Amino acid sequence: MSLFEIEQLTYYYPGTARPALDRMSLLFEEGELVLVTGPSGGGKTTLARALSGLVPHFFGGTIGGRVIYRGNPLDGLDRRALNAEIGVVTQDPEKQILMTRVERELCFGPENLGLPPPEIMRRVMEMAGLLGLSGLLRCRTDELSGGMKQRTVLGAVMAMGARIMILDEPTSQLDPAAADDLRGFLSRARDELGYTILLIEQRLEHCLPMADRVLFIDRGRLNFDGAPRDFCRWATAHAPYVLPHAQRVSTALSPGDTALSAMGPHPDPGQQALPARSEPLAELSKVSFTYGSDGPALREVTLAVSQGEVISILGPNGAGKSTLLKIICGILSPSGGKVTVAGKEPSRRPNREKAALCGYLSQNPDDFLFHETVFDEVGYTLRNLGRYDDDTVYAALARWGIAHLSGRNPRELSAGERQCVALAAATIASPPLLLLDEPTRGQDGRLNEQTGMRLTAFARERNAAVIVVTQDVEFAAAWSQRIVLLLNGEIIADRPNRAPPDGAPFDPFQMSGLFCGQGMSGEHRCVRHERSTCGDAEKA
Amino acid sequence: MNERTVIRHFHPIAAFSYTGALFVLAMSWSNPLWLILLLAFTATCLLSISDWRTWKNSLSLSLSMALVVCVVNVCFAPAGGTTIATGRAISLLDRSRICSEALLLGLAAGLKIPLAVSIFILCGELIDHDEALSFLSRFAPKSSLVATLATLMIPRLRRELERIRTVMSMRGASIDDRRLIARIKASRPLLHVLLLSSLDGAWDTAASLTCRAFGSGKRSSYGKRMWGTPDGLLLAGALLALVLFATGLASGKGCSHFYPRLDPVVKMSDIPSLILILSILSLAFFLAWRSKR
Repeated sequence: MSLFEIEQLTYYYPGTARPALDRMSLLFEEGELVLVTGPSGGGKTTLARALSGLVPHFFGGTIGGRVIYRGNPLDGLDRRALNAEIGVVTQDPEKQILMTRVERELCFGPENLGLPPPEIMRRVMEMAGLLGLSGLLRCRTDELSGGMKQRTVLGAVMAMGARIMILDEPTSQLDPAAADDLRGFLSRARDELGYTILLIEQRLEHCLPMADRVLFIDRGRLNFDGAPRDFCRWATAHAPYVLPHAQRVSTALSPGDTALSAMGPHPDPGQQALPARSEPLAELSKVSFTYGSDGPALREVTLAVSQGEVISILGPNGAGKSTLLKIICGILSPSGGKVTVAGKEPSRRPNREKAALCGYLSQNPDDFLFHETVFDEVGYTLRNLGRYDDDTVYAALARWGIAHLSGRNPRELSAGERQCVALAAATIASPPLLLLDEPTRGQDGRLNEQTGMRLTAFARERNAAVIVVTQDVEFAAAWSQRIVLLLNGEIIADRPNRAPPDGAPFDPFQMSGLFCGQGMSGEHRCVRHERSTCGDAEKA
Repeated sequence: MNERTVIRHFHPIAAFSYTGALFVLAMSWSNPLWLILLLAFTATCLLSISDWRTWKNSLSLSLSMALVVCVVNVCFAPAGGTTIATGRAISLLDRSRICSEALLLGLAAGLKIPLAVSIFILCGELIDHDEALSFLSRFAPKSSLVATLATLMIPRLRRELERIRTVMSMRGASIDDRRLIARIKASRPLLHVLLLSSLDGAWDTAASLTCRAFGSGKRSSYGKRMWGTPDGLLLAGALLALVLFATGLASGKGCSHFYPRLDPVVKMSDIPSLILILSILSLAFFLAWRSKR
């Protein structure tokens, strides 16, 4: 008997005419790690909701077909029994944490199940030990790092006794080191503890090797269901954008192909594409910044950005990347040093002038969206600057591929479409400097590629500079001309992408390794900080 | 959270009883001198277990509200018999008059605001929020969950507002305008986005609660706070102070009559009662605190 049997499952969210799941049929076996992928808005999250019983009971809507769990219809099961067996973790840990301290968070679910206190205590201690949270039990949940928050949520779900874990992009908000850590734990949970895991992910480079099966879902339909090796072949033909670059190359090779090393030196696309360095558009000279009584967030950062350049800034969570962007655009004033953009100091300018100098995209595109239509939303920036013109708005919508959505409510769009609306709004005033904070978070490979192409085109056509803060090493490697590594508020490396002749190139794998090394130490530092903050260091 | 905060928490029953007793005194007494001494006592307790910053912002806000109450009472209810000063007639109004009765009534009423705020802060310092909510959740699970979520929501909203403010500034919104009206007008989108994001967030939180079996049946409680000697001391002090207060109240101790003519603020016959109540409260608090340490 299969764990789950899904038969002709069709589901419509309330008020929609297009099915989120369309006649989907598949089986899940116990102890599998199933990787679910596909484009944004394809139905992956809805499948997770259907398996956890949230659809249709919580979200409403119309459902057809059946979900059978261990031989019984899922909708006939008692909710408490269902919650005790199936755990759900979504991408934003902030929205799942319900208690103020880690220990209380871990015991919240078991308390709801009415378990006796000794049993709750046993589970809390077990999960804390398993997930490395023992030293943090008394810590406030809002003081934890992103990785620790996600672990806490995972622990809270596992403490309920769930043996089936449904994880919806659990690593999308984590830095590469914390994400690796979480994936490693999931592998161990499957191999050593026998958990059944359904992992929804957009970024496959680290997930494919650990999966037993891969599902590809697009427009509510199951397009592929098979082994990872078969998926690579299938995706090469049908959806190459979901595959990591290395996977695309290795899948395309056949036994008769010449070894790459025998082909001589590899021409360097990054260097060829690099425009001649002009006068710096933005300059940071020994910039420092401190938040209140905390330690310095930035220490003597010096950076020059030229017109037409696309720069990626990488670094672990808490390295000071977002602070650096806010300093450049003038939202924060440096406590030491000087920042100039096009010869002006943004922090001393009113908001209107700041907006004309720098375009800014925050981590969450929803921070932009409050108008009734996409058209009004994108035009808002121009209105504020007193430069409103319908044609400019139409041109911006066309540039970001959202002209067909101009009459729609931006809050009703998919995550990728909302990101495009936010990007159109950030760039519509044609600022000479564009600052983007995690522009690829939660996007699929195709959208990433489109975003990269549009940003490059924006930089070249407008002779503008683009600074991207990202955890996405592949995106940085594919679309940046320079990579800047930031750690503890200091720039530890600033080099051209892919090219340097000194034998130390930045390629995605090397960067990832370097990043993970730094990130792990960052995470450990964070744990140490949290322990010392909690006064639990001795206990830990 | 530092070591101090770990050891200072009391059992919710003890902490609620003690701060409840303070609150009853604050709301029942009307003698300005007694209220001032009670505020000073509360401040001493608060400063002995937490730092000045915890109290500073709320104190300045509540003192300014107290001042407003005092001024309004003096200006609009000059009904007392003891005139301190008279001013000029203002348009249709009669000559303005400042009476000591109105001034002291306003002072007594206004002092209750910083007192209430300080007692709430003291309560927050004496209890562990999670323990208190766990304790309360046995009687009112939904209300205590709402309180917990509100506790988490405030810092989250602050972070979100900061992010949205950055975005709107970089879209040219005049939230930095020197003119107040322009600033208020430009801030409207901030609140709009914040409201929409909060609604989205509430939806996700509700889904998370459902997945964690909240409301699926009777809950158990993991609470394991043991009753200790410090808790007993705190509770005993609170009960004794309440008994003395009730006895004194019957003979009008701590109460002032303001109109038509003010009673003496300092009555020598009442002073021993005041000293006794405050001594018991302070002895209980500092003994409990000392045995905690």
